[in-house]
Amino acid sequence: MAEINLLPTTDKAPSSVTKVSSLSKKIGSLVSIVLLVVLLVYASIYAFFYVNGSVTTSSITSLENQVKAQEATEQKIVLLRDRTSKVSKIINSSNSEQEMTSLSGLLGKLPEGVMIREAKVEPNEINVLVQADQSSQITEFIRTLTESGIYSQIESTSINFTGKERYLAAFRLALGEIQTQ
Amino acid sequence: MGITNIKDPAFSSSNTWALLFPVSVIVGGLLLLIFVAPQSYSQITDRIASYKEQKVYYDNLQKKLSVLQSTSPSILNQTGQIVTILPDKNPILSFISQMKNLAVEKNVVITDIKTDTIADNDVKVLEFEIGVTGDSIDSINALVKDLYHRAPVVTIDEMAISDNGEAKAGKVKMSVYWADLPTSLPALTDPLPPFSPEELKTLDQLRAYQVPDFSTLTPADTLPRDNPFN
Repeated sequence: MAEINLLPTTDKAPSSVTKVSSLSKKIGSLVSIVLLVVLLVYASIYAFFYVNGSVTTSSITSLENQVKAQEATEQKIVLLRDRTSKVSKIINSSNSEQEMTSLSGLLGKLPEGVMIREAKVEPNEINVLVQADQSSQITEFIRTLTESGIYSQIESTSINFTGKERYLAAFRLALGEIQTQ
Repeated sequence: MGITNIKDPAFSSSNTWALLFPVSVIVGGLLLLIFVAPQSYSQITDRIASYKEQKVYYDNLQKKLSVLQSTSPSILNQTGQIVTILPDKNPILSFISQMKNLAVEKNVVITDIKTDTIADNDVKVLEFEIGVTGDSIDSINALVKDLYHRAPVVTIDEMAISDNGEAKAGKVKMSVYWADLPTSLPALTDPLPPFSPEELKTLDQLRAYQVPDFSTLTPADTLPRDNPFN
């Protein structure tokens, strides 16, 4: 049905006003839609994090209670970790354990006729004074040391011969891997 | 020309009303965007930040609980032994007891015990020196070497042994250690990592340590007396 304007033509709004009005209407509608969309987006984001946040809060409370119930276990773990780190530092600090073990090995492999008269064990170093009746036994002792493969350095610091004690030879031994070429 | 017509008293009222609604919507919308939008944005970013924080806390708690539930009871049962290995009090008496028992086993006599210095750090150290005599250099060396695997933990700093034909004697400088126990648990929010391979290796190594056998004295039963005043 065709629209009929019954208003007198003198009451008709000028075309410029109509244009401004329709443009404002369009802008107004656009701003309203943008506002609505922005509002919806904000509201949905807020609602999403609000709901998820409240779910997490209840889960956290439940987890906190479970962790608190395991307090005895946590105490043991903390104690074990504390002691382990400290003991580990102690046993890895400079000490003579390896030297003791190597001296034990050496005592078990002494050639016949060779006797250890003195031994001094320090971290990274062993000093031994050996007694033998014959020089060949000293040579055999040196061979035992070299063939053991556990000393990186074998230094003969002195060798004495007396009628009473026969051969007395002193060695300084340093532990470590022998570098092969 | 058209605009001037708006001011025409005949049309001004209706024209103004026609423009009022869309203009007020635009102005209202712009005002909302300018003043409300930044506040809403900051509220949303705050909400997201707090959600992220909660998530991290939640994950930490979950990991902590998983570590607490998955740690093997055999590891947890080592607490008694490890406190004997590194006690919270000076262990010199229990160490001497261990050493004397071992000396009897190895046929070695402890002749002298002299304490030297105490270093009071995070881990406290007591350095001391003992005199030993035995059948052979080997037995003295074996005694000292075996002390390494007995609780409390000990390190041998120096050992000198001499064999003068008949007498085999020596002097050994060593150190025993102790340290205060941890006084507090980490906060609920702090993560609790599982034992590292190095820690497990050390715990395994310490399992072989022999702890002193402390006997518990049980109270004797009271015997009936014929004369209660005697």
